[in-house]
Amino acid sequence: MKLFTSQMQTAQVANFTFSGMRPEKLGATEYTLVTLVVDKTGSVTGSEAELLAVKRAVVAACRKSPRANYLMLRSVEFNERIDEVHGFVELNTVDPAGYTAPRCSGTTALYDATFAAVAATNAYAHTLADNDFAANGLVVVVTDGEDNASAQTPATVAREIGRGVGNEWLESLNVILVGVNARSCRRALDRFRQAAGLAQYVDVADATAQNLARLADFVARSIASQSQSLGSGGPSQALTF
Amino acid sequence: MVVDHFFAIGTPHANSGGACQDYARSGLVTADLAVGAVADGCSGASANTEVGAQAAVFAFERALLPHRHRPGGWFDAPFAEDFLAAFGASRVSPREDDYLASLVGFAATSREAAIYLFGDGAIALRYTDGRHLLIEIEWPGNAPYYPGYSSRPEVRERFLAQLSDPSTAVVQRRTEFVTGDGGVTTLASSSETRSFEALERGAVIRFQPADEQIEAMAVITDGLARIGCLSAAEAAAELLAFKNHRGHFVKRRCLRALAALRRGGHLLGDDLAIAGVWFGSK
Repeated sequence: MKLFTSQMQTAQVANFTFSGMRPEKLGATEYTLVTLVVDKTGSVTGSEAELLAVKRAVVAACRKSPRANYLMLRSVEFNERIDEVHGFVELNTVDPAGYTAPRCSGTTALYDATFAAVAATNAYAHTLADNDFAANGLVVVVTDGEDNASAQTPATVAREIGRGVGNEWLESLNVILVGVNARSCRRALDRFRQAAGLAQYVDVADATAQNLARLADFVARSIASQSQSLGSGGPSQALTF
Repeated sequence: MVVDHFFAIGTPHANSGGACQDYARSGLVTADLAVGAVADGCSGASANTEVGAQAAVFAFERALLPHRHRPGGWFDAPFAEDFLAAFGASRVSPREDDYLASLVGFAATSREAAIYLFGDGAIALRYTDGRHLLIEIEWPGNAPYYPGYSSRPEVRERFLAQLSDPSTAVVQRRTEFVTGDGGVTTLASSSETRSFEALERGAVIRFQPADEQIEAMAVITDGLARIGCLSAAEAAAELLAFKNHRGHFVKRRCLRALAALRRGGHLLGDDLAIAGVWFGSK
């Protein structure tokens, strides 16, 4: 799904490109910048339909939120590459039916994908701040395995997470790491959470329809909570999966 | 044209658990007719003057609608009658003192703009060449003649008796300035006196936005002059430094500017309300 129109602008951060709505096209006073980062490595093969359902369910749930007009959503998929499905757009312009199942293959550049999502959030928040918009951020990274293909490290991810808030482009930024079918690498993912200073690690266990429905509900609630915290000066509290 | 408004409680009222006694509203009546108004409830009245501030703004809006099709007549004597009648009919509180509030409102097309000021307040203009003009109306002892006095002849008489010279009672100050890295530089300033009689049914000030190359116009309550130790011109420059002009452009700018000023120790010493219109190109 490509949502790139004349209302969008692209920017380069490090060695990747991201897009977002031009600030002069935005009308609210503040936005929560949400990025969904979904694993499409070879090991996810067989769960494509469920992961697609999660994305669609998250968008559908967020649309019902009283904060829906203050949410901007970016969707990214990754294996050893990072592919932007669509850039930061106002939630009401996202058609969940337009999402398609990922083609799964390749290795897991988990650190790179997390770093890129955080860096894009920081860069876009910088643009918004220069235009008087207040913003906070939430990055949700869904993976089934530990990193095996990144140039970035947990330490560089940690530095990037602190940069947006430190520069006051973002009021707060939460990064949630979600493991699906990831029992065997749970300890590695939790080490990544600690070393990178991620807000939360959530283990969804098996990628059953029921578990993924719970995941979609958890992500939607986390988005709503982070959005409601905008203006409070800090991040939302971690929710229970 | 884009129009928006903002109001915020001042530190003294916030710290004492009081109400914000300033109020603002704005909107587009048609694609080329913007209206907006701010009102400032008297905080020295020991009354619930937030009631009066809201009543004044809604009365302004109600009174303007029948007159909206005749720009040349905006805010003439028939409008003033309608405004005072609408204000007098707004009675959710039985206490007269709850209605002590100043009002500054505007109606504007891209070619004509008129401002109606009853009591005290300020008007700020931003020109396409970077100049700003601030017009402030001040009454002796910071005690303006409120719309609510008009229906109380005994109060009017007492008010008049307190004025040393009704023919020069009110000061209208104009400050023209530009902003730069060094802050605000005043280009010209002047003040003139106006009579009580000229203002007792409200003052009208007119502009031609397109001809005068005005890109933004705002009406602001006198909280403008009580933001930390900033001058009113410095505060107006901050509040009118719009970065973009879509949707809630006044709210965005004010939220951002006031947060930055707060970090610099400049707190809102009084409630503040602002309504603004953007005439410039998108």
